Amino acid sequence: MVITNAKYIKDTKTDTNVGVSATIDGQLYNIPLDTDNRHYAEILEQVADKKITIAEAD
Amino acid sequence: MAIVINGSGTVTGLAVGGLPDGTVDAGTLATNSVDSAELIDGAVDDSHMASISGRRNMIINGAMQVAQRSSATGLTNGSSQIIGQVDRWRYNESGSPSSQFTLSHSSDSPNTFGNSLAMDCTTSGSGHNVVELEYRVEAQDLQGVGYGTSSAKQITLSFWVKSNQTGTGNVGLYRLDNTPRHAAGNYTISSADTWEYKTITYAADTSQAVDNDNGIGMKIWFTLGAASNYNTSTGDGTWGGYADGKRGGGMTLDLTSSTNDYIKITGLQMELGSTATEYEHKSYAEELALCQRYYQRIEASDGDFYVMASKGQSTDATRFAQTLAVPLRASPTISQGGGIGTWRVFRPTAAVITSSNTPTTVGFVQNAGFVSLQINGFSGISDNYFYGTSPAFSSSGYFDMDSEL
Repeated sequence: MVITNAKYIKDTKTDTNVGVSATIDGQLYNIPLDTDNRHYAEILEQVADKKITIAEAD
Repeated sequence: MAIVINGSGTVTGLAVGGLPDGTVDAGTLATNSVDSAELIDGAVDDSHMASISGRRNMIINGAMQVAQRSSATGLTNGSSQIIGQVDRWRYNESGSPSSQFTLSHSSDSPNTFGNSLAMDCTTSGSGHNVVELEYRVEAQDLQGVGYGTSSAKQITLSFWVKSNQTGTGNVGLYRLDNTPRHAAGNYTISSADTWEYKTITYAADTSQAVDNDNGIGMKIWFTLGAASNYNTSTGDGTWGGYADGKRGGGMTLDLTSSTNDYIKITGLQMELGSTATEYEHKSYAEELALCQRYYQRIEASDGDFYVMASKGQSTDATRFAQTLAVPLRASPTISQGGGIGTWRVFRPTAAVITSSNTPTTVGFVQNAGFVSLQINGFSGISDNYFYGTSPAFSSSGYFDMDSEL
C-alpha cells in the first residue's frame, strides 16, 4: 500500500483522536484506531518502519 | 442366475446388476434394517456423498459472482493489496515490479459458471520478486482442518483456469499464526485460451495451530510471475517453514512478460480430504451476505435517499448508527466516491447544513447489525441535539465500509 497524508481525526467534543485520515493508493480513507482493521495495522507497520508519520489533527 | 436364500438368511448367487431398478424400495427395507453395523467405515466413499453433503467449500465467492467494487479500475505497480472488482480477491506484489495489471469481473467462464476473475497484463515488466492473486481465509473458519493437532486433515483445492500461456503454475498456502507455515502446489495448463479444471491436494500439518479468531488464518497465493530466486523448489503440497523459493516453485508460467498475458480463474473450492468434489454452488444472495462480512457498499441514486436519526457531537459533527446488511468482521475503514457530493443535516427549525467530509467509524461492536459513524465538518450543530443526517448522493455516489482481512 502506498500511504500518504496520514493525519489524525479529532472529536472536538472529547478532544481525542477517533481515527486517521489517509490517502492510500490515491483514494482517501478514514480509518478507525483498531488493530483488527487492515489499514490501521498497515499504517502502524509503516510508522514503525519509519516510512510514514501521522500528523496531528487540525 | 437364481437368488438363493439359505437357512442362515444369507443371500448368494446374486450377480452384479442382478437387482433391477425398483427392487429395493421403502417397502423392502424395514425401519432400521440398514444401520451403522451394515454401513461399515468406507462402505460409501466420498465421491458418492458429494452431492448430499453441504458446506464443503471454505472459499467465499469462489464462483466470482459478487463484485461490489464495480467501479474499481486498473492496478499499477506499487498498489499491492488493492482489492479489484471481485470481492475477497486482491493483487499482491513483492519487489519492485514495473509490470502493471487490471483485475476485473469477467463474464467469460466454463459452462457451469457465470463469471470469472480476470487479471490482464497491461504493461509488461520485470523487477518483481512475485506477482500474485491473493485470497485470505478468516482464521476461525479453518478450525475444522485441525492444523497443529494430531487430527490435522489434508485439504484439496480445485479450480477452473484459462490463460494465453501453457505451462506450470503455483498455488501457495501460507499460515501466519504462531510460527508461519508454507506449502505450495503445482498445476499445469495444457491448452492456451481454454478453460481447464485443476486440483491440488495439500498435506495434513500437525504443526502450528491456527488461532480461533477473526484474523487472517491463511493466505492463498496464485503466483503469476516469480523471480528466479523465488522459484527454487517444486510445489509438492507438503508443509514447512516459509521459503521465498516456494512462492514460484516449479513455475514455467510468467504472466508479466507480455501485454497479451492474462489469467482467468473461477470455481475455486477448498475442502477437507484428498478428493476434489463437484463445486458447491451457492445462491447469489448467500454469497453476497458472506462477502458483506468483509465489505459493504451503500449506493443510492437520489439525494436524501435515506435519513438517519443522529445526535449533535460538539458544534461541528453528528453521530448516527449506520445499519449493516450483516455484521462486519471488524471496525471498518470508510471511503466515499462516485460523486457522492455532500452529507446533509436536517435541523428542526433551521436550514439544512452540509459537509463534504468522509465519515469515520467511532463505535463498533462484534456481531452487531450497526456501526456508529461520525461526520465532522458541519457548521451550526448544537451538542446533544437531535438531527437527521443524510448522504446527499449523486446518481453514481456511494460510500464503502471495508473490514477486509
